[in-house]
Amino acid sequence: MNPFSFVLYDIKRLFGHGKTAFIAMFSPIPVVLMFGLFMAPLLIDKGDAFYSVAILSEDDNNRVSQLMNIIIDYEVKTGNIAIYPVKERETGEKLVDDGKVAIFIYIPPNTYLDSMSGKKAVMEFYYSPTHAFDALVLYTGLKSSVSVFGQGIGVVDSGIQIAQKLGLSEDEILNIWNEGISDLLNLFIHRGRVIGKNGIFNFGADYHFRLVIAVLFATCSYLSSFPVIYLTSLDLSETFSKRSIPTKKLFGYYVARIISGAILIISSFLIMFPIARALRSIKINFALSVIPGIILTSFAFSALAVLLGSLFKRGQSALWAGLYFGTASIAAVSFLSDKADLPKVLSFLMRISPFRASVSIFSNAMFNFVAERYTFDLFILFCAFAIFSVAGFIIYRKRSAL
Amino acid sequence: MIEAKGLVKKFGKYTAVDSISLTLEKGEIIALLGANGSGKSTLLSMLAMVLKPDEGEVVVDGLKGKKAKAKIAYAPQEIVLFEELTVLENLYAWSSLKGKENVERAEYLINELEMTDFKRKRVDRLSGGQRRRVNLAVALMGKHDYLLLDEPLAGIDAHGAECVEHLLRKEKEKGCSMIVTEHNPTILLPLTDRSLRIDGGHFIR
Repeated sequence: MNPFSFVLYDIKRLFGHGKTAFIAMFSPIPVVLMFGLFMAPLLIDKGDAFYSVAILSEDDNNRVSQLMNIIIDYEVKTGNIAIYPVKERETGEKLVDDGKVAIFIYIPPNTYLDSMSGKKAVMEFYYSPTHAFDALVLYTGLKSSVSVFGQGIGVVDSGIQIAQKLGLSEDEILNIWNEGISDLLNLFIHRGRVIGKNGIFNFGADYHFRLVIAVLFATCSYLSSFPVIYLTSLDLSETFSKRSIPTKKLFGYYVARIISGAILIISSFLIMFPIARALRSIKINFALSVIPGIILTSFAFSALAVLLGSLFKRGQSALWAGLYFGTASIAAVSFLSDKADLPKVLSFLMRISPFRASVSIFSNAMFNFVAERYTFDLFILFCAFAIFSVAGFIIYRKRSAL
Repeated sequence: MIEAKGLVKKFGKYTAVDSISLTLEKGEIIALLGANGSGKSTLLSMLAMVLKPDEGEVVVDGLKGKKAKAKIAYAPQEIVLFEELTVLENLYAWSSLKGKENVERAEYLINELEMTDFKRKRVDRLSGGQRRRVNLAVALMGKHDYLLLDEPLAGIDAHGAECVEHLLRKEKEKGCSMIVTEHNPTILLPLTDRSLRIDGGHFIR
């Protein structure tokens, strides 16, 4: 028998529990449909996130501070953002590391001049993976606002240059500048009104939507691993414990179980994603980048399911443990991911959580691709897969043989 | 030769097997008799090394542990099969798990136990007697010198019991040693060399 036969037999066993496999694979459909049709529009209109941000600007040009003030001022007034100016880069990074702020934004020297002269201008974002969503939203909002506002400043600058060529007095030029900026500000606020939001860019508008849809995908994929938990527990408590199996062969079957479990989870993804894409409100922009996320999430969750199944002698106990563990992990990701003042231990656990990595990777891959964060999340998922696999086999082997 | 020395197994305060010693010689067949709860299955599962004794040890041909375990085939009282697979798939899968897939051996056992009619049926769709026969066939798939059978005839009809008896006789002719537990020893007793009766975790005369 070739090694794939174990996988084929195990897939047949997993899918052999017809109703269970059917529920595991197809239950996400009504959830995704309900979310896409009814919940998503509500979430997109809701913008009540709060961000604590440290900023260091080493660009002396006062246009930069004007620009930042205009962009952020309204959000500070409305309580969407708390700004902490810092004098040193290390201070900003330490505030993030200590969990005092969610994000540190660093504006290097000559950013304004570089951007005006057509050179590449770089603003750096420093954040902990726990606040990857916050950073993503802030980055998207700033990028959009700086781009639009920059165009406006460019127009006002052109007006100033024309005024200088015409030989207008300094007072008149200053007046044109002030009126220009005032008009620009009005334009921004008006822009906010036109799109039906307060503020220049609507902080938190996409945040909940992105978080919830990513949590939804991660949750459904985790739940589809439950047949793996049950069957593993059943095998160890009844099947393998009553017959003698050499360790080498046991390892082969263990690997086959993880692979077949991953295939079951991937199947549920293959059903979820086309439905999500078919809905107008859920657009998947980076389909190719989703694929590695799906594969690694499936393997990590499958290995976790085998580990949970190996830990408990009764199938039902293993299922309850899986449900509580999953609920706690998903709740933590859902409710704590936008908190800046987490205790260090919790912050660390959030950082290494495969659930957070999975949620983050889907949000990242589906909406706005940030390579560094994506790579880090892949790394966390791979590590989780490796740890769950090794730990699972140690228990699996111990329970199936004397 | 299987040598069990001073085997003890307790479940909480209840002592299921109380300091039992037993020797199974090469080619010998022992019938282990006793009422429900007398300790037959607990003793047999310790001899098969799927249940760890609280005291005592089992030595097989001078070997202990995994090497000793590999010489024993064990058919537990419970039906232990992959319920979602067919009879043939079970035989192939279990022989692969025990060592190497053996198609010829699978066909031989299917013929001997008269399972041809249902060999492509899923195990969870078979009757109790049919499942019992598959359970026995799975135990006989790997290489073994010793065969430990826990109530192999439970739920099997008269014709099925004859098939099992016929198969076990052939295994004996090949030199295989066996311990068989049974409530109703009339069918298998002629096959055995001696019988031991167990009650309350002790052998009785």
